[in-house]
Amino acid sequence: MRVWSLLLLATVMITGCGRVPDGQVELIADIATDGQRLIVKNGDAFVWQDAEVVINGEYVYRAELLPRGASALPFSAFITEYGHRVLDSDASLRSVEIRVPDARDGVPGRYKW
Amino acid sequence: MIFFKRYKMLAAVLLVFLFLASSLLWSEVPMQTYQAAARDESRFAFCLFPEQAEKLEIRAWMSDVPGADFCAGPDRLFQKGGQAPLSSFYPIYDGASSQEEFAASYPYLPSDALAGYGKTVYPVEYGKARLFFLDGARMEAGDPAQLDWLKRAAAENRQPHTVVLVDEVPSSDLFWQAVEEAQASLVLTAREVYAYEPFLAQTAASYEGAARGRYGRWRPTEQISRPFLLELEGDASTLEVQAKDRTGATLDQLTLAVPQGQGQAAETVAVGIQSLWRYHLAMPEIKAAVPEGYDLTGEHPILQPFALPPDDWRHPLYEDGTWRVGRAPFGYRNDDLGTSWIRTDLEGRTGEAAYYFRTTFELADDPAVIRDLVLHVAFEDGYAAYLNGEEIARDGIRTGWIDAYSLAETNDLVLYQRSSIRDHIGKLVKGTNTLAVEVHRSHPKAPNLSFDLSLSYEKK
Repeated sequence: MRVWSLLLLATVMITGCGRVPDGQVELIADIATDGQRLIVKNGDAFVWQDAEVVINGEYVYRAELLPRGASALPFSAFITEYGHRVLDSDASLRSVEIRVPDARDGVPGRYKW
Repeated sequence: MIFFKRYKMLAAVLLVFLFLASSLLWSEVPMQTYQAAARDESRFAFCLFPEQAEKLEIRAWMSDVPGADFCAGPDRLFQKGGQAPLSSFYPIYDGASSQEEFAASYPYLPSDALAGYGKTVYPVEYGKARLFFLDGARMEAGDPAQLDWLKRAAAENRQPHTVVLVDEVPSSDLFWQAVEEAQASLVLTAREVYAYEPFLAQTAASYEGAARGRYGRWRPTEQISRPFLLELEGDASTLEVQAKDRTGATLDQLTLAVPQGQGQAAETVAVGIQSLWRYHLAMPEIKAAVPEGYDLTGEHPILQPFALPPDDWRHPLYEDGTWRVGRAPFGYRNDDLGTSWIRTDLEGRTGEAAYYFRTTFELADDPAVIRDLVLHVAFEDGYAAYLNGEEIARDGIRTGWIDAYSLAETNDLVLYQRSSIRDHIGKLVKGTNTLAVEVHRSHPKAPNLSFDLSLSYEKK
């Protein structure tokens, strides 16, 4: 019960934060974590294509397609440009950014927390 | 006595306890559990008001009929009198009022079950019976639409008992051919009861054999002089028609015995529940390709078959030899079903989003002779199923593209939900067929995941 409460609290705390630069489409997204995965909810009406999800500015998960609805992305799937992976014990989130090169008519989409 | 004098309070408590305990002897303690006493869903009972010399007070009589869930009768017999409609009365259209007046009097009836007939022609599903209310006058005028609809509708969801209700039977033999093709056990009119003779187990006193084709006739209104109604009661194998007076006394009856299997097309099980499946944790390394032309959102109809590459896990030729083998139901649960129902425990608490399942079956019949294809799926939280590489069913998860990390919506366990997937009969092939199913949970820490499935078909 306590774990669920913490997860709920974490979800509430990290939802809907951040600002998107001008000239980009703001993606509709929710994020949460269970301690081992980043749960990303694509709330847009379209599947995100060639999406990048970046944790703490350096750990990147790339997906040709990120479906609508929620996905549970394991931290182990996020790697740095040097090939380092996020360790479970190092899973404290400081920032999350989602980038999509074409969100609407060629305009990039972005979500920042 | 010394005990009672010394321990008055204790003695008083004991006496009260003994008194309460003794109530078990003289009260009627319920000895049957709620579940045991639950209604048998296959049983049904309804009544019919025939036209007779004395006008009946249908509203008052209906409130006195025990056990009948609803009553039927010709529209003209029902006293509307400006009162609110009685939704437990199903009228037979007899031309006494216009279609519009009829619709206004009985707003609860289904509309346009047959296009152009408004509420005058409609079916009623009830227990193991299907009732078809028809407009006899339009059939008599030569309109074949109702007979075509009757044959088609009866075949779509056949039940042991099909009952046709019509004010007066048409004179054409086409009507009798149609009701026999619809496998109707009974045809009920305003004054007559026609029974399918091969099923007849007990006849009424004034019964006439082979009155119309293979249907015999009982005219209770000519036989019985006092006011009565007909009570119809049955289950999967029998159907009784009893004429009863206002006191509930049975005046006469006929009984039909339906042979086992009659009315239900033989169902062939291609994949049974508790079958063996190959299974694997879903992971991106297990390839799932996006076919050309596939709508990623799943919001547009699929108009053409998709060609998956053979290394896609949903493809019939996918090499799944390294996958584990287990018997359904699969999953893990935090309730009693975890031990009593689950046959293969999945290592679900690892936090993965989904599992993939594959199995094959041999189809000896040509798909062209198959009339219906039926899935029964038990799942929690969501699933998508594929037959020979093409999607045939999905529930509890977003439409469109999903992958190994996709999460389902939060759902309670659904146990063996039945769905007809006859639109996918064309995806079957004679010989070896492959079923592939992905089952997703709603959260990496969700406590339950379940899956079992059967696939069966009915031949034409």
